[in-house]
Amino acid sequence: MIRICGSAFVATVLLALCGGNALASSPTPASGPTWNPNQHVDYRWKAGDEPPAWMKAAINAAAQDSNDSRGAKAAVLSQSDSGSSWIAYSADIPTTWAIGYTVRSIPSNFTMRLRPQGYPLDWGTLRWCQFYDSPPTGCYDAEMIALHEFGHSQTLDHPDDADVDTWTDTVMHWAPKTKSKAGWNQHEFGPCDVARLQIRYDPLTNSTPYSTCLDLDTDMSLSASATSVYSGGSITFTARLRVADDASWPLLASNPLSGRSIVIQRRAVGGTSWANVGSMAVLDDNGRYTRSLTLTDAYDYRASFAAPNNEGLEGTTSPIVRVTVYSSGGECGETKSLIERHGSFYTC
Amino acid sequence: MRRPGTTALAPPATVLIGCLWLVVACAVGSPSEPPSIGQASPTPAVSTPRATSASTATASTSATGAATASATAAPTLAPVPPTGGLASPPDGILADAANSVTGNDGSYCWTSASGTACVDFADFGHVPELAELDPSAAGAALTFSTDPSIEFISWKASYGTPDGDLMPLANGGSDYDPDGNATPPAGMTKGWFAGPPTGTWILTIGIHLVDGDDASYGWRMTVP
Repeated sequence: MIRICGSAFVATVLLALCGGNALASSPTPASGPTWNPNQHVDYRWKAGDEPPAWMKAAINAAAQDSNDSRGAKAAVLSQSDSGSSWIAYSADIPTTWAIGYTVRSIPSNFTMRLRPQGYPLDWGTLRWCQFYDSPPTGCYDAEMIALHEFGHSQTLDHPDDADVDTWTDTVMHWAPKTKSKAGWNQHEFGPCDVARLQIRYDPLTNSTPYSTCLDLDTDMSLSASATSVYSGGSITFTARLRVADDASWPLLASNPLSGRSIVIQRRAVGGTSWANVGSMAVLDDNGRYTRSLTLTDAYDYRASFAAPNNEGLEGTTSPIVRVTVYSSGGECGETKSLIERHGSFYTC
Repeated sequence: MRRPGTTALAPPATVLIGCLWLVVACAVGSPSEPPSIGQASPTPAVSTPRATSASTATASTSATGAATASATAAPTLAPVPPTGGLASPPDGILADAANSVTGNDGSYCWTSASGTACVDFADFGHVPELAELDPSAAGAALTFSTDPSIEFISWKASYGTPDGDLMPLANGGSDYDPDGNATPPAGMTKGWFAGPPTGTWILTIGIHLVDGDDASYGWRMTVP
């Protein structure tokens, strides 16, 4: 028993010493079914409970914040008098302490309620900053709270504060902050909110940056238009970059990655150090990149994608492609087959 | 930021909990598994009325704050009602060696037949009638459960001053992601952890269910 306890103690101490800096934000939790990709979801003001003009403006601004910062094919929100969803300025909210309340019934609609200005709750009187010409300390930013509620309508739930490294990583906190605490007026989804929306809805396009709250492995392939060429001949390299097939989230796995910076590199045959040859141009929106080179010596080639610091992708390099270069008029054992397959290129 | 992972406790807290674990495990000396700090544990059954009441657990706490449990840890294996049967989250119960107190409800997202409802709270810091549980000493053993009992896959306890940011205190369970490839983990009905250090605190506990639903609870706590 003493030995077991001693081992446990040592293990705990080691965990404390080695694992103390492991804090990192996780994608915001979410649950339930999703809207269809880019589904347009219109909301109306609930008859009899219409918000005042200042609150309507804040809510509409929050809807635009959601549309602008979602980074994913999440629902597109807009106000319309014929909307199937509705928003109320109402005290008809469960509990005596809540300031906002959203019910989602996807893919049909959602409902949202925000408590009226001045409502006495069990913790004090509710004050919305937008109500004032000079918002007092301690008021709630209606645009941020509405964005939080729209986050619920997009299927986001609440993260544990212990899982959040930086407050602004999310707008979905259990308890939002009031003026003038840091993050009290955040008007865009945080990176961990965007991460979850991307996990559940896919990024907007193949060129959309992946949230920095993610850390996705990538894979890259490289092909050459020929693997041997006369000196002075031209070869076209094509690389294809995608999210790794074994990504933790099925919807993101194998997604093409377009619009990234890809470099083609070479090294001498038998060498160990790689040198950049140049950038590869975006070939299409399906994660393909291309670069044509005029070759005079044999090299090994690879494509390289360096982990960008503005999105949650790991870097990768492609497998190596060796291109043999023959001096003009030299022997070429593959002449016949190469000419047949690559007749338009200056190859053996 | 990095790939989602386990949130580590601050080293001092982890060491403290490790010491507590060691003391408890060695003191009990039972051939059955001791309760694991930060995990679901077979803690004594805790009564759950809103009024303060004695729990079946007994513990003494040294001047250094290390709790020495003298209770026999009887597993609670009563049938757990299905989560979907509740229209809103159950009460959250926090207990120390002497008392159990129902916490104030905080924000939650809860799925029922009518959809998923998310209710958003302000914060616990300024609630005058916040439920209060005063442990006897720093690091006293605390147990969290719900009434009615439900299974959750993770819980996290945080503490802080009424106007300050919350700091991680303890956690248990798995950071399961329903959108990922992982197999859902086994649920738990209780969490067991060492309380905060000396001071007056707001203590919050958040739970997540396997389907993604969540609930949070708050208490005020003065630790001598």
